[in-house]
This record gives sequence, structure tokens and C-alpha cells, in this order.
Amino acid sequence: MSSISGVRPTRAFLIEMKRRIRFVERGCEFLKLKRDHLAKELTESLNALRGQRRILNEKLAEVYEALREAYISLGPLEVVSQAKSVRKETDVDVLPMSVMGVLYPYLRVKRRPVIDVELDVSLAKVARLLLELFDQLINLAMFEARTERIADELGKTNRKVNALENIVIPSYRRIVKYIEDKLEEEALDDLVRTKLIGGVLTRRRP
Amino acid sequence: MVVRCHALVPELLDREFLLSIAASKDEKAMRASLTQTPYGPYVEPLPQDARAMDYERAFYELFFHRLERIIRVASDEMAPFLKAYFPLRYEVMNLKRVLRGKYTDASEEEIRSLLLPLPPQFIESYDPLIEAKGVEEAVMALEGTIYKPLIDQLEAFRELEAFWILELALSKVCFDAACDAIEEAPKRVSGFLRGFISLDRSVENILLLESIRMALHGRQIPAEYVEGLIGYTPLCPRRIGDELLRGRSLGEIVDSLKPPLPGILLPAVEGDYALVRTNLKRHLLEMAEDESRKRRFDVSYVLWFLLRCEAEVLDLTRIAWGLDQGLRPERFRRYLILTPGS
Repeated sequence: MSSISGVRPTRAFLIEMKRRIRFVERGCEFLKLKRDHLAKELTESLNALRGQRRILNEKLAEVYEALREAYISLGPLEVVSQAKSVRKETDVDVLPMSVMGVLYPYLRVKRRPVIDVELDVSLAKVARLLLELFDQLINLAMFEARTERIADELGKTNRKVNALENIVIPSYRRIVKYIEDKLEEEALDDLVRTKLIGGVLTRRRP
Repeated sequence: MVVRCHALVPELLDREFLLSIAASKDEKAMRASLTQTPYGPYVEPLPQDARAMDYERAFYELFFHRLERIIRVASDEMAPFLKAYFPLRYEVMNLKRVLRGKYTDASEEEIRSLLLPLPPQFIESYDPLIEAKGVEEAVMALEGTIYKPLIDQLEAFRELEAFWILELALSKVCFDAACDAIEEAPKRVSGFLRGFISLDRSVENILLLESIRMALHGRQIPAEYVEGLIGYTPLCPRRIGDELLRGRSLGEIVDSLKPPLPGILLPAVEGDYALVRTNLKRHLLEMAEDESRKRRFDVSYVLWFLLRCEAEVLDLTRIAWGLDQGLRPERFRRYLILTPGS
């Protein structure tokens, strides 16, 4: 009953509380719609992500095999030295995109890495295989960030809906009920008082 | 020199020992096994969390120590070839790493951390190169050394913004020095050495040309830039290089080469370049071994011994890396030079 303490049991406050309940209920409906939409987006994203991940994992296993051969062929010191010689590195712009108000990063590739003849043939093969996966890796990274943000937002929205449905709206309803009871009680008191006064006045009347 | 090699042979690790190391549980077990060998003093000071790179450096330290002991007593007629084939090759490797570091503005510590522990051989010190402000200043610091031809390539480097031109020039210096040294070698061995270098260079040329083709597909680099920088050999003449760069398939090229190149290069057709290098090292070792059987107290025995030491270091590095990565021995065993068929 702590939510009731400090409540002014007035008719004006009752009207205000009823207005607030309507507003909160409408907001809750919107949040439910958002939750359902996000859940749908998340399910679709997860399915796509699983498929992409599986394909990419298979391809990355192939890249790792090639990298293993390069390490075996050249030795770790040479591989590290050659790998560091790739100067024309990747450059991406990170732009904000939104789905249902959820911001997620969109990556726009400004410059792709350029692999030159500096690399030994075994490392060049690794670089070529990785470059073939470059767009897929960027897409997957983007998709993963998007899915993570949607999942976060879904959790938040769900908590908000639960809080509104189970805490805020019931507590407002209790307040409304309390005010209504109080007003009814006061109205009854008024009625009894009016009746009593009316009776006293009637008896006094000569 | 030959007697010293014979005396050092018992120090070499045998095939069974290498296989047992390859089957070690982890690097710590490998390190424990190596403490009983000549590698002990080199791996023992390494930190407990040493990585494959640290082991590689330690293994090379022993190899360079052996190399120095042999070359110090080499005869005047053989020393130039041995110096050109071993220390020069490794110094070129270090120079490439220094220049790559300069090209990518790496810090001095970073550059030094990637160098092999080989003292300067044909230059006075690596310091002026490492401390240089950029690639061009580092290359200019090579003025007056056998690496002078690099200075002539600076214009092409600037014009094409292509660092690989300098790498090719360095490899060419190495090849030319070996060819010049063969001219000074005694007649009884010069034919064998010529065949040896020709095979080594031919395989590396095919791999290099394949790498150029992979990197340049669609882009045209004027032929004159590449032409003078590849040391063509009778086994891999210019015609082969032209055909490869024009896009003829590697499989067809390999089939058209003279033996033993097709056998060595066959895995390259499947894309397994590491196995090509293993095959090449095995073949060179066998060549030297066959030749040394004919003359047990001649330079071919020295060459066999040094190649055997080098193969040991390469195998140990591969094992250390495999264990560092947690790979099962069967994943890397076929790339070991000294354990064919295992």
C-alpha cells in the first residue's frame, strides 16, 4: 500500500489518475507492438546469422588451413614480418542505422586492403582467400552488431512492458480504487451528515 | 673444414628423435626433450611462456653458430659459395624484414624483434638501416656494400610505389652472388653446385612468379621492371616466366618442366606451397648426400652437413609452431623434411 501513501483522495486527482492509466495502457500497447516486431526481427536475424556463420566458419577453416601451410612454409617470424608489410589497410566508415528506433552500426568500406607482390605465394593464397570473404565478414560483423542491439532492446522493452503491466498499471489501479473508495466513503459520510443535519433541522422547526 | 663437419655429425638429431618431439604433448615437453641435445643451452634460457617465434630464434642461434664454425675454416675456393648460399641468404632475409619495417613505419623494437640472430655479414651493422627515417634512407645506407643494386631500383620503387621491387632486387643479389661464387669454385664441384643452385632457384622462381601472377591479376606492370630482377636458370628459363605471367595454368607449366621439377612442384598445382618447399629441401639434401657419398672428404659433404643442420632447424620450428597451435602431429608431420614417409 506504499504507493497509496501521500495520495490526495480528490476527484480531480482521480480524473488525473484515470487519464494517466489510459495513457500508460496505450503506451504499454505500443511497447507490446514494438516488442512483437523486435521479436520477429530477432528471430529472422538469428536464423540468417546462424546460416551465415556456418558458411563463414567452413570458409574460415579453409583459410586457417592455408595459414597453417604458410606458417609451416615460412616460419612464424617471416609470416609476422610479411603480414605487417601490407600497408594498404582496410578503412571503413561506421554509420548509424535504425530499426524500430534501435540504432546499429552500418559499415561502409572506404578502402579495401590491397595485397601486393610483397607476400610469399603461400601467404598470398591466405590473403586472397581472406579477401574473398572480406564482404561476408563485414556483413556478418554488421549483422551481429544489429542482432545484439535488437536483442538488448527487446530485453529492455520486455522489462518495460512487464513493469507497466505488473507494477505501474496495477499500482495506479489500486490508487484509483483507493480514491474511489475514499470518495465513496466521503460521499456516504456527507449523505449521513446531510441526513442527520436534515433531521436536526426538521426537529428544530417549530 | 670437412673433418670438423664429420666431428659435428653426432650432434645432429635423428629421425626417430624428431618424430618423438613432434609427438610431444606441448612445447614444455618438447623443451624438456631438447635440453638433452645441443639445443639445450639455447632453449633453456627462454621464458616459460615462450612462443614459437622465440623457439625459432633459439634454433637459428645454434644453426648460425655451427655455420660460423664451419665457414671460419672454409678454404678460399669454397668460402665464397658457402657464404653466398647460407649467411648471405639469411642476411637478405633480415634486410627484407628491416626494409618492410621501414616501409610500414614499424618501431625500431618491432623491427629488431623480427630479425634472425645472425650477426651482420656483408654490412657493418643493421643499426643505420633500422634507425633510418624511411625505406629510401635505409636503402641509401647500403651504398658501398654488395647490396648496391638496390639503390638502382629506388626509382622503380618510387614510380610504382611497389616495395616488392626491392625484395626482388635483394633476392637477385643473393642469386648473383651464389652464381659468381660457383665460378670461383673448383671444377670438380662447380657442375654439381650449378645444378644445385639452378634447382633451388627454379622452384623459388616458379613460386615467385605464381605469387606475382596472383597479386597482379588484371593489373599490368611493365615487363622491364620484373625482367632483370628474376634470376632465370636453365631449368626455369625466361620462356616459362613469360608463360606463367601471361596466364598459362600452373599445372601445364609444371608438366612441361624438366625432372625433377614436376615431382617437387606437383603440390603447388593443388595449392600446397608448403609441401613444395619441403620437397625442395628434401631433394637438395638428397642431391648433396648423393654427391658427398662419392667424395666423403670434399665440399659436398660440408654442403650436406649445413643443409642437414638447416633442415633440422626448419623441422624444429615447424614442430614448435604446431605444438604452440595445439595441432595434432599428423597435421604437420608430412611437412617435416627429415622424416619422409612418416
